Amino acid sequence: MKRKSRHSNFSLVLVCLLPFYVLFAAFYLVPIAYGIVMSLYNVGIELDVFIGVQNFIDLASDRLFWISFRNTLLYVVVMAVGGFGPILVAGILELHLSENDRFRRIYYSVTLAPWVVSWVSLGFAWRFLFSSYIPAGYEAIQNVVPLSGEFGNPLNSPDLALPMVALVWLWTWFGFNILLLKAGMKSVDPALIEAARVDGARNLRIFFGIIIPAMLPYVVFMATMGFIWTFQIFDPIWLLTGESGGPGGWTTSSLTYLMVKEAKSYFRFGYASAMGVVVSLFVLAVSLTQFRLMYKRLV
Amino acid sequence: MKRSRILIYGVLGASLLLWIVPFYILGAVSVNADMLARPPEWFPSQPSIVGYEAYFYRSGFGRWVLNSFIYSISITAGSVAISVLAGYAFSRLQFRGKTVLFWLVLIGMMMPAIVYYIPLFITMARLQLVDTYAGMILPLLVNPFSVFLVKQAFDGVPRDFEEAAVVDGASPYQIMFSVMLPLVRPVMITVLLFNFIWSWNNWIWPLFVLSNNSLFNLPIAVWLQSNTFTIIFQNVAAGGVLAAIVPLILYIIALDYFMKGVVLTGLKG
Repeated sequence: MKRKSRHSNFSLVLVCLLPFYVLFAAFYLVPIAYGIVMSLYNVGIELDVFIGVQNFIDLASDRLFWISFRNTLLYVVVMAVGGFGPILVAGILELHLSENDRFRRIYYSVTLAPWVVSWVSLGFAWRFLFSSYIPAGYEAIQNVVPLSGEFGNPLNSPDLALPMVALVWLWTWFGFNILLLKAGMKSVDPALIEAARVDGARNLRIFFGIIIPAMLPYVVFMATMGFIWTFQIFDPIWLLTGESGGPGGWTTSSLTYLMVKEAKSYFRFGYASAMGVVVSLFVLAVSLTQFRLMYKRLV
Repeated sequence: MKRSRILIYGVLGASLLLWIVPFYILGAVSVNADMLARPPEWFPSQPSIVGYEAYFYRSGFGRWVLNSFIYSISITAGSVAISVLAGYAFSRLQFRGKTVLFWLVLIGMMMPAIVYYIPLFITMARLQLVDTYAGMILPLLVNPFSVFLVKQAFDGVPRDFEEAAVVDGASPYQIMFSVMLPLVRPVMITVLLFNFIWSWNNWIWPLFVLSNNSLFNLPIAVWLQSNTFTIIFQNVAAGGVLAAIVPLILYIIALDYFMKGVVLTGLKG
């Protein structure tokens, strides 16, 4: 019986899988394999020389690579610390407001809006804010409170540009993250919080002692996804601080940013591929660990 | 209790300004709010739609909009069709090598897109597909993430349905298309919508594969335009609004599908 059904299944399996895997092989597997091969070559315009691991050796002594690596880690750190924001807000929305409170729906839908819109549009909006409206707002505050210093466009400041790009990045993912965590909130027991309140526990203690442990799987999921996305951060850097790596040179560049520069501006495709291999190894290591944990439940 | 509720509405309501203001400013500058004035204008003192006209009267504009629709619709239709077939196979069919093949999907899903665009670009160059519709569309038809979502959706359908259909003598194709597919309609709509906005918003792949003005989609055209008229902020902002408007309309129409869809992406087994 089982044999027979397997046999009649064969054509169906072929019909189902062939379209995907033909394209997948052509436009995914082959290019990825090609990228790995290219990382061992010196590939430029009309140039194709095997150089072994020389690209990776060059990478290790490339100042820009390490600066971009450090910047990438800074973005990851901001994203990790900022991750407490969505947890807090999702907690308040789900635990303090009733199920059919319209405010919740409004909050979720407004904060998710940047996620559906082109980065190009978001980039323009934030450039306007940073260049005019935010400095003007700071001046207005200065008229009331005596704050020192001038506040120009923070995207032109070597010290402030990276934090600002990171904040915009955090902002884009905020709605997405609170919606993810919304599902996890179901695993928090409101009675437990009430009991803790009665025992005199403070909000902070409830937050770290009850809410975060109860939804740990979701927090871990958000954290790993956050790492994966942030480790390849590209759009806001290119769109907010331009194509020269940020004010004062390479102050905002990430690894993928440097990689695209190497490929598109200097046509050093082999070197860019080597960088791509490094980025991919980091991302795949983290995501495979996560998927191993999930996969047990998937099949 | 009542006071804490008011505090929540107040603080969280105020925090929503962080999301509303950037969109508002983009819109305001696009209708000639002067952002260079001191202080910058929140409301245009001399409203005008010159920024939009700069786009409407450009020869390329109609083409870019058309291209955006061509790319988004063909990529969405193609990739969803392909993903439904593959996702169904992974959920319901038994075959050798299933685990390995599915791992390939997972790895593809986790591969940073921007990293693989570089060798992909070289591949497309060797295939002479740079600066063609095919070069733009074909690679984006492969979306491992959609396969994953579809598989998850089919996994959620109880076995009883197809067993009943088998008893009724339905063919495997009838089961797949007439029995199973309607059951996962909400997820399918979400996958369609996500694919549409992802391909609509994609400006990085065109940055690599397209250099011919007449093949651009709206986001990449708007971005490259902004480099040419940097000083006229009104035009830049109008471009930003034009690039955002279709996804925003879709989002507002299908709000629930988007919000549920986000939860789907994080759904675990």
